[in-house]
Amino acid sequence: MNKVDVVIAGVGGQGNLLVAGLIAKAALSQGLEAKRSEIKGLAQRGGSVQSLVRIGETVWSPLIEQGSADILLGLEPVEALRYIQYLAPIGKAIASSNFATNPVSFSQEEILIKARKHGFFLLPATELAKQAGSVQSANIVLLGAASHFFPFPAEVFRQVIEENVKRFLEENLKAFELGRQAIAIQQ
Amino acid sequence: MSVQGQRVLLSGNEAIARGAYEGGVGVATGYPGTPSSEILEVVADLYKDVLYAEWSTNEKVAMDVAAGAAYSGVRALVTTKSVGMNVLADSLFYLPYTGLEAGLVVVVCDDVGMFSSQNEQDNRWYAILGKVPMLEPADSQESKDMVVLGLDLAEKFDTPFIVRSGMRIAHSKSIVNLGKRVDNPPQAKPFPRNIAKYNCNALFARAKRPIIEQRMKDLQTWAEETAINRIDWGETELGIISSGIVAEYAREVFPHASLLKLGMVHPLPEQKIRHFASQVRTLVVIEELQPFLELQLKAMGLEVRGKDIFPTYDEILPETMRSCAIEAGLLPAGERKERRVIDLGELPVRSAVLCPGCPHRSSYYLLNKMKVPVTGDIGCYNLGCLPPFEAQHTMGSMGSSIGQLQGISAAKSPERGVCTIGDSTFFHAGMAPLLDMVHNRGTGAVLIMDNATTAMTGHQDHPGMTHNLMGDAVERVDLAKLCQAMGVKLVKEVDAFRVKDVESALKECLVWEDGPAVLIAKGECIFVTRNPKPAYTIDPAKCIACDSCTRVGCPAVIKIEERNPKNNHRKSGIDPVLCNGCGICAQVCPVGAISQTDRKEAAE
Repeated sequence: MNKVDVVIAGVGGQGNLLVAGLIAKAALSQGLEAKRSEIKGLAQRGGSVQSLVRIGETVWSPLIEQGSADILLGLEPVEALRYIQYLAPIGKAIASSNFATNPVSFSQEEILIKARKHGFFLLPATELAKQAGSVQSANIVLLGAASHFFPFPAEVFRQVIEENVKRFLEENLKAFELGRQAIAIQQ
Repeated sequence: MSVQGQRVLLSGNEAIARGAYEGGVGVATGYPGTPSSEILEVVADLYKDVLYAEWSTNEKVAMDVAAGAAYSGVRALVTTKSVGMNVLADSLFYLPYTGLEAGLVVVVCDDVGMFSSQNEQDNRWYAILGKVPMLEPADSQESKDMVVLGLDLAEKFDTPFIVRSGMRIAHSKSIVNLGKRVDNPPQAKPFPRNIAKYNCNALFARAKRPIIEQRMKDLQTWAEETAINRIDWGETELGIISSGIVAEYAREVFPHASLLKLGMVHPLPEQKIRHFASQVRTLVVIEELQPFLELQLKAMGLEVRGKDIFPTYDEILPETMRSCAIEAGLLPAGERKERRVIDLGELPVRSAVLCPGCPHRSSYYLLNKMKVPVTGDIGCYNLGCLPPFEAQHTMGSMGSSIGQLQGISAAKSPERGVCTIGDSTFFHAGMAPLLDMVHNRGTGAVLIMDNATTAMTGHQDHPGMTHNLMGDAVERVDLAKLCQAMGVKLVKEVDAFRVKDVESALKECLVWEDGPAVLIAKGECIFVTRNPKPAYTIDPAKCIACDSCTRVGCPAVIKIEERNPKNNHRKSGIDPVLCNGCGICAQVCPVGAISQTDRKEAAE
């Protein structure tokens, strides 16, 4: 079974759809089928954005049933927690520990405690992206972290990044490696 | 994506655009609305060298433009969102009477679950009501193919076809095999002077009734044979009849059941359905919203379950389908998916707000302050109904704000009202009710919030703009002159970013007695200018934590840790990344604590 169901949660402007596209393209390059779906909030920026990617031999529904996602990828910790009901009991939750601006005030520490309690791998994706030379590449850092859990080697992702990411390619490839290493270290 | 033979991931909307191209459409029209807006954008973006596309002023106009093209012998496509179908239907309904000279397909994208619509409606009924055949794709490949098929069948049966898509198909991506554009797509020919066919005078139209009834019978015969109404035999214990995206969910939730997937939902293949029913022990219809198929199956005398198991509103998501099926005994309890759950407690909400730099902010700040009744319209500005503004008291359908304002006036309400309507919405459905106010001497302030675009749906063009969908430079219609020509005696224009100017103009309009007064608040949408000014900053030494700036409802205005010891409130700050420098917060600050960062400073 090569089936992988991925939920990507974040806010507008974080490059959610780019990551979904890269995963789908990686799957297609391996001869698998892929479907994507997305929900965008009303706000153009700062609104909640959820996208779904399903890959496998045959994919019927573009939606992922609650309780069955293999990977929950959180570009933002609050948004990641919001979609935890999609995750399968044995699914992997990976999220950035760096928060997006939110006009509502809340305790960031409490959110991170909740995320840890629910088994999230947390990594400072924005900080790692800065380290890679492009603060915009936190999404690629997280893709790197998630790359351990796909039925094809990381090289496939490096390839699709090279083919599809036009700006800051070197920085993005570095971001991918930093994310990949961050999870390897935690494991 | 233009290479024939390629396999690409396309959204349902992109696939419909591709279908228009491959099917030889020459004229594509529509009015933007979620989830249908991307179709024409893609058509214009990729294929405008071979076909004409326009954003029409509203859906009815779009339908008539397509009809005129189809009468002229050119294939046509119309796109609309779910509720736009109500506007479009007036003109759709004459087309089965007249028929056409070339194929015509209406694509309606339903919004089950109401992600972006004022009501939830099942547009399959329009097929029965208007006697228009309807196809229903389940993914992107079918979306493309059914546009092409619909165009062919429209010519074969001399009737328009409806293709019913929906949010989950329109905004999902799946693999599409690209084909080529038809050879020699039909070109315009001399306009038919066939009055008995194309003039719906009752005398002529009455003669069409038996023709229409016979056509539906012929289509029913076609439906019995077509592969788009397909049976996938599995175990015969359970037989499911479904269509569209719901059939895709059903394949996963019931992998062993037999499935009759209907690609044509009107008219129905009665014999095929009877045959399927006779082969299965339990027959279940799974369909979102109303029991459209189920009622027809029951009218055939079939024993069928459906809405006794599945909900009649909102989406039937895979998890809903599964839990309903387990409860009804269609699936064993062991099929329940375990969730990792989990008491999350309250999570901070991320509510929709007007963007930083939005020109509507000043108006809602003032309407809140003035406490006047406000009838509202459809657009981003309906966010004015949310805190901190809570100043758009009604919202119904496109253009209804002005008619409602006239109603307040006609009812002799003790209060003078304001209505808020955007520029695109005004052109769509606001002109007729404004004329009504002029003619019937209604009073009230009509606030046209002119942000120079159709913002909410993704910045499409409209008659108040200087380009159209084909990219032609066009002369913009002047809203002020238009309102004057319509007989409005007080028409004022103000800069929406100058709070005091908007306030005094609004007050003047509110006391105007000689018919309606129009105030045009002009300010470009931040996504049109794409030219944010330097961010503002708040001097914490001057800030008295009075919260005036938070009443402009800007996400860039935040609370900082420092407090004013006198009232113990937290002082305000500005997020320099979010701020677009519109300065409205600075204009409402009573102590002058907010100022714009120097351009040089910002550059450093």
